[in-house]
Amino acid sequence: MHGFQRFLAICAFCAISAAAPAKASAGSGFLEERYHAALNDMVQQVRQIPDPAAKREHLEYFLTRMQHGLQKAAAETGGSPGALSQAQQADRASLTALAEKYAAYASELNGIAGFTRVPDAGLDEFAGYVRQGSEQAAIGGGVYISSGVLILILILIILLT
Amino acid sequence: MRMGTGHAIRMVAAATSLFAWGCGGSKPATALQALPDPSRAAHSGPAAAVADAAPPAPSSPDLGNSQVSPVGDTVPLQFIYVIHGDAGYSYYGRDGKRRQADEEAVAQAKTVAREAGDAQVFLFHQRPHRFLGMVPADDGLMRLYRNGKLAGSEKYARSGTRDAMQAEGELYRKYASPARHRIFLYFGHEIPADSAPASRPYSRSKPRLAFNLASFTEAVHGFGPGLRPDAKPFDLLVLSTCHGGTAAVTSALAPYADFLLASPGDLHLTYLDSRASVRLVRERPLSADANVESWGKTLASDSFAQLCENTATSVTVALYETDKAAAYLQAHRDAWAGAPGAAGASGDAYRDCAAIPGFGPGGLEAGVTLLYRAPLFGADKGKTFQSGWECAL
Repeated sequence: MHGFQRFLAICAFCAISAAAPAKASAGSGFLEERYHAALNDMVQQVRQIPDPAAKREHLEYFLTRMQHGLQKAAAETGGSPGALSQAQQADRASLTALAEKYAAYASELNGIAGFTRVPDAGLDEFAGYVRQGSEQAAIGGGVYISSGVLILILILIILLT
Repeated sequence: MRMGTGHAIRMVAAATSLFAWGCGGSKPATALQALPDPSRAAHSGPAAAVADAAPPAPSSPDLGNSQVSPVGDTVPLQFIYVIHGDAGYSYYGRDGKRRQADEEAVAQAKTVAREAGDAQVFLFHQRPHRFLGMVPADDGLMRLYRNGKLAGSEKYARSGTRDAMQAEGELYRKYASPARHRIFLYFGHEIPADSAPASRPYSRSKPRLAFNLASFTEAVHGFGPGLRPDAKPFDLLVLSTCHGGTAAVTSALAPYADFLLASPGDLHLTYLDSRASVRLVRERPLSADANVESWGKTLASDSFAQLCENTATSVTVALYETDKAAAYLQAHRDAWAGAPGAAGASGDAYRDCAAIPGFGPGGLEAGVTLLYRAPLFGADKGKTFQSGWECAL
């Protein structure tokens, strides 16, 4: 990433961190939008790669980075579970659940942990499946973390890697 | 993945808007009166009655030309769409283009409204209270169609403390003609069993607006009884949400509709599709009660086909014959109502109710017509679904 772009991203991070409310409301809509857009970017990139091996590599890179980033974010949510507020505990649970979801995606992609390996011909569809997992009409669209800052961490994981 | 300059600039712009959003005022939304007020026609003497009979006020470009039926005329069929848009509803199509689920549901409702013959169609769109997070705006818009024409529209405020959909019920009672058959359709996220905590509001711009299964049920009740004596208020109730087909939701809504069309599992924001109503109005009018089930099955199969074509996640669409279903659920209440989170606690994981000891098989004998396709990937790829209901773990 170019220095100027990184600078802008850091500015955005600082600005949103300062402005985002402790509890998500209208502002988190933007963050969620960015999350969905980032997933869609991934899907389009996968589709544009002609070589199945390269497709798989791209998907694996994305999924594992997401998994590790979410795990780190969950670990940094606070101290021991007893010391966390209810909202923090919910955040941590959401992040952990999301990290596990991405770990399962990565496992299926590679055919480990009991999953059947995604065939080469199904990689585009699989990428769409990952995106659609966040587009359900569940409360919060299937992805909801109550703190805007935590969602921003998610976005930065995607955008800055 | 690399971040483009455009991305970074958009993030800065959004951050700026978030700062401003934190400073906005809280002016109550204003209502634009574009519809003739039927209460004046009924109670305020000849002048108001003339207003109803005359072409609508010229100040409203939306009003049809003498197509507005005087309130009191019975209409054969009525659709009531309530579409929630005050939360995250964006998704991306197969073509990679961004879609807004609530706007697409509005478009779907407009298609039905314009092409469904002499039906009366109410379209309520619940929108964010603030535009771009900054400017207070009317957060509700009602459109009323009669005979395929837009008869009028009215902005309204979903006030901050009343139950969600109370405002819609009031407007409906104000403008609705008596209807021989009524179909109620709700599009939104999963209806929570309990009021969502402030950290996880159902309506993002109005976190204190109460919304849960009890208030939803009460709101449906608020749309009033139907015309037919001893009949349920609605012929068909459509819940285009995730987990609309749980045991708890079915039990709560069974008294209000002959049939319930819903998804017991997750539902992609592609949503259920009601556009088949347009051809059903012509081919199988609801004059015969038997056609209600047929309508429900057609809407279910069309929705199922559309969802299967556009998504790789699981697709579950079920039509419940509510009398049978409610009796079955009542007989097995100890099994599902005793399970932890049985009422469908927000965000909990769900499972097929048939997996609960004592619940029984459900399915057809319980009045459930089920359409199910397992997800194309994931741990549930080969999963079967039996009972037609999901219960929270």
